[in-house]
Amino acid sequence: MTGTINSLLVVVLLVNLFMLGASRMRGLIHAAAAQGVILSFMPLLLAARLDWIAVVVASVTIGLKGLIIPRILHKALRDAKIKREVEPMIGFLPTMLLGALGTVLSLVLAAHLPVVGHPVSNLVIPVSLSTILTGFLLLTTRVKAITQVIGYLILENGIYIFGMLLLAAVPFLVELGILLDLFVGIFVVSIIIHHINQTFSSMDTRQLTALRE
Amino acid sequence: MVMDLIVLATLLAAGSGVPGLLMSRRSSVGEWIAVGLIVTAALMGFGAIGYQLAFATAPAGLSEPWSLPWGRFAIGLNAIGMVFLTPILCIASLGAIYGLAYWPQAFHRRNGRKLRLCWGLLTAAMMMIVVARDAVLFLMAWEVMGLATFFLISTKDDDVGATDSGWIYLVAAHVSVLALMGMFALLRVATGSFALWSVLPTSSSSVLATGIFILGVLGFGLKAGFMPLHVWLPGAHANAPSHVSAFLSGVGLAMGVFGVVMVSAQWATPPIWWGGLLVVLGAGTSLGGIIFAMAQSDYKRLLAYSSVENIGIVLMGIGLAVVGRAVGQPLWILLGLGGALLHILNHSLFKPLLFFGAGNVLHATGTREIQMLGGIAHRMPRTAGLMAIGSAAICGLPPLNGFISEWMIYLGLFNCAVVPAGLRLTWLTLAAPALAVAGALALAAFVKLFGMTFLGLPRSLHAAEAHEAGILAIAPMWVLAFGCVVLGLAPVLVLGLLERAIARWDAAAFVQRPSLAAVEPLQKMSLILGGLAAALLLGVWLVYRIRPRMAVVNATWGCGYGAPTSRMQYSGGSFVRMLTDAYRAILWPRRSGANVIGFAPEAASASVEFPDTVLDRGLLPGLRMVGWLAGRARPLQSQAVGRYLLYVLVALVVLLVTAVW
Amino acid sequence: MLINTVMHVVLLAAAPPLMLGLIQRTKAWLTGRKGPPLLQPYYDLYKLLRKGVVLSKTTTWIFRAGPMVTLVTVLLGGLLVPFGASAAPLHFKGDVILLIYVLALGRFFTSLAALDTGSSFEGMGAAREVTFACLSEAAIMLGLLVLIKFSGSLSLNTMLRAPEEHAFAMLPVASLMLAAVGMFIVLLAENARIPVDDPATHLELTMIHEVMVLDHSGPLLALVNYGAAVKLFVFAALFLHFVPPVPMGSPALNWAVFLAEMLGVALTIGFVESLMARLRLTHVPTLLVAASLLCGFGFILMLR
Repeated sequence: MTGTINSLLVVVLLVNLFMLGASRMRGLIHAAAAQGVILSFMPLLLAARLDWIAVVVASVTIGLKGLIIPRILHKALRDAKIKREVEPMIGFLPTMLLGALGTVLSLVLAAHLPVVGHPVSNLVIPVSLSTILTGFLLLTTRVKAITQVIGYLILENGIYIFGMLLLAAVPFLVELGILLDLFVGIFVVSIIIHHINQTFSSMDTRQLTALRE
Repeated sequence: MVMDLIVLATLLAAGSGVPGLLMSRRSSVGEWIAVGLIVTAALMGFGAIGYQLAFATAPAGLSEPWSLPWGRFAIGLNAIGMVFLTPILCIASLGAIYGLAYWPQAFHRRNGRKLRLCWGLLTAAMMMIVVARDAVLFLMAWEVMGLATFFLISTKDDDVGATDSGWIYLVAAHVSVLALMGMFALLRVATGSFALWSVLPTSSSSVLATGIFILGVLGFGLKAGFMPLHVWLPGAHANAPSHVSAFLSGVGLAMGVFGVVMVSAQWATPPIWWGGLLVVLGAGTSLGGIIFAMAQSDYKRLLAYSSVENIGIVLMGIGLAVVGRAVGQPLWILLGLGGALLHILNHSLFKPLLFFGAGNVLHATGTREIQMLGGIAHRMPRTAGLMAIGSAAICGLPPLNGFISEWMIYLGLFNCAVVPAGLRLTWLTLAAPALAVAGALALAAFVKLFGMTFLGLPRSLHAAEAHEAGILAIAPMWVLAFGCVVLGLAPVLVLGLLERAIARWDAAAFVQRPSLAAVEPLQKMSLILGGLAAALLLGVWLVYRIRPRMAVVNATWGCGYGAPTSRMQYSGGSFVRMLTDAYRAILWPRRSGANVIGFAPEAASASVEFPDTVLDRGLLPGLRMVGWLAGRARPLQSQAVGRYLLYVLVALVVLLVTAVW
Repeated sequence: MLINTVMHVVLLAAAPPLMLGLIQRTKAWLTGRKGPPLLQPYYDLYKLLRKGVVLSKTTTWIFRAGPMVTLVTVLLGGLLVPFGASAAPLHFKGDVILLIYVLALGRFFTSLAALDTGSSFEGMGAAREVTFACLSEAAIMLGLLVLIKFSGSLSLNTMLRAPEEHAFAMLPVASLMLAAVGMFIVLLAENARIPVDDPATHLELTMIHEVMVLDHSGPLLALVNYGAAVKLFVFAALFLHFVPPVPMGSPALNWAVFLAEMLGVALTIGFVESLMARLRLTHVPTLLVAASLLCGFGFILMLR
């Protein structure tokens, strides 16, 4: 069991690294979707016995993260006729190295964090921290609005991993609530993107800051 | 007996240039006498080492009082000294022979005699440094070495580049002396005498011990060229005559390493962080050195920076040994120090070989720019073959000698990873990937050096009209290349000496320690490497037979383009372009020239150079700033007496106020 | 023991071109083509061996020595890497370092032979080869450190594949997975496969390995091609050491497992090559840095 969980967490780590180095929007969206699906499976593996709530929640998350949200993003990408390249503010290699540094830091940090109870795997906290960091890096170093949406998605994934530590304490409904918030948020953002695109013909967040007046 | 021989050899070497001074500038008798004396001195030195190794049981020593107020004339020869003395004697005599062809009195009437005088003095000073057992004597020898080196670097005293490098070296040498004086003063406080290299009684964690160690690393590091302290090195080795560069680089730098080895041997249990510091410093030095080397367009500067890299590798080994001593891991000491000392020996073989080859190229073409050369392997086949051996050896490629020492250091570093839990020193292993990257970069640098200089088509008239060097210049290179092959295939030959040196470094625990040959399967590896060498020779012979039967000789395929010229070849700069771009944050290149824009651009030129980041970007502008500030302070020093009296008054008031406070 | 050695040497000498054939077959199959016969690489080698040689006027002995030296070095490398659970013919403490450096010797001569022709294309290829090697060497070293840290051994023979020494549950799965992905990237990069280099392209400006050997012809080209095939085989065998072993009792079964696993590697390479396009050259360093980072993560995970 721990072996499987560990391998899945390592795959999550790999996806993080891939997303920081990915140069195509499509690849980025696919990666985010894949990460979401992997994470949604995990509670099923963790649960002592399969009750129907867990199955329902898992399938809802898989549907949302794996199908619906990526589809919305793809549609936004198509509608807005955005160039398919990710535009980084600092290069791919530096962001990747930053992400790696962050991962190493979270590995070191996690070893010193006090944890209540017995986590199912000692990789949970570092991978969670590293995923949150990846989300932040995507949010701060990429230019396009749509990349920022993905950044939020990754951030949520990180928090979700962290939540697995508290599996017994927090009901799935809370997670579902967060997810719904995020879903609505992405829905709204993609509509906004669509409208901004029609009005201003640019998706550059650097220029969006000039809109505050 | 042994020490008398050493003293006599030192005196012979020191005086070897003197007879030349008495002769006419035109006469070439003086240079032959000098070479004869140096070679005689070297033979005597080798005799002393051989006798000591074969027959003596205790370390040799000699101590006489002298009329100076401090210290005594105390010298001694131990195994570590022998490891360092061997390359001194070897390169001093080979370099002197090479000098007959490279810097003959007949062509260099103005400065040939100066060069030979200083060559002898430098040899003698280095011998004295290795055997000195008294701080005052050591400092005197160190100072003579500094001065002789200064005059050797600026042999061509009408060349601004040479004299500038000489002055920078002189400043660095004296900062080094200053640090060493401080260190010896602290040593005197610790031991109560000027006698050198005994194990200190004080506990190692004290401030005093740390002070001695830090001052030692600073003083000796300036000579050895640890990375931020290397500022004098590239210019000096590039501008000095090539055989002088060979001597300074192959042996001179080792004197700094000798100091670090001896200083770190003085505590029974040094703190772990000393070793950690040395390993980190070594990794940084080797990476930094080779990054700069790879970028250079001047092949002698490239070789100079590559010396920095090699010193870094040696330093990693020493650091590992210090950590091993601190935590009681004999294997780390054995592999770390053994690898470091062997690498010193190896570096003193392949670096002079490469500098001699560079000298031949410079002599034949008159340019130090890689961009101007190319294709001279056809005109200088012997130099090219020997340089190929040297380049492969310095990259640590099997079956040559560089591989053996790097292998030992790698193995030591790997051992940090497999040590039982609880030590928390596994991070030291991460120096191994650093060493691997440095090795790969070294390969890039030397493929560039050799490929762009010797292979392809000549890029200029200089290269097209090159000529092979004479037998006096080639013969020393043969000896060195032979040494590279022999040490690569049979490292067993020097294992005994290395083991004795390690035992001298840490005598306390050596008794229960297995020997180098027993711990590591060197013999088995030697067999495999021998097989590799044989297979290589056989294979190359097989391919070589192809030629007469069925080869058609034609022009290089130009991918359909009919009239390729030599200027279309990939140049040295473009060869490493991706690497220099990747490391631009460290290299900080200086670019100038036009960007080419549009479809039919005007003629344009562009150039890029890689100044030394520490020296040209940090130190010199910093010093200029200090000079500027000092200039601003000048008005304080007006000629009016009243002003000075005012200063006195102010000073008095300030003193009074502080006293009252 | 002797049978093992014989088997090892025979496989090392004879099997590598077959692996190339398998990869080509996989690619053809996935793209719906018929593809060349499985033994085509052998026919090609035979054809080249009978041809004459064209030598450039510019070249020296290095040009002719290059392919041979490279071949000798990869063969020695092949003798150092254990095939599956069976012991390698040559092994000693620290043979991993000899493996890395003997391959570097091959690279030294390949790139010098390329520079020997004075062609700008070949110079370009050599520059790329030595540049990317700087990155992949770090990855290999870090990957090997994972194995060294886990097994406490400094010889490839007794690292992961040493049978019945480690229970499967004890394996550091996370570290091994990370390192395996990193090493697979290195395997692709070092052997000039897609997505780093395209062995089938004929556009000189974009190639790495193929462009270095543009001027080699006849038997020399046969040596180059054979050497490249052996190198791929050796790297694949090395890569297998990062995949958790299936413990088998008898030597015969060990060999069977090894062959099956090599087939798997060949198929995987074929899949990757069919599914991916070649990366832009400027993106290759990013990929290789990622490989180093993965191996580095693997190592750091072991430290905890």
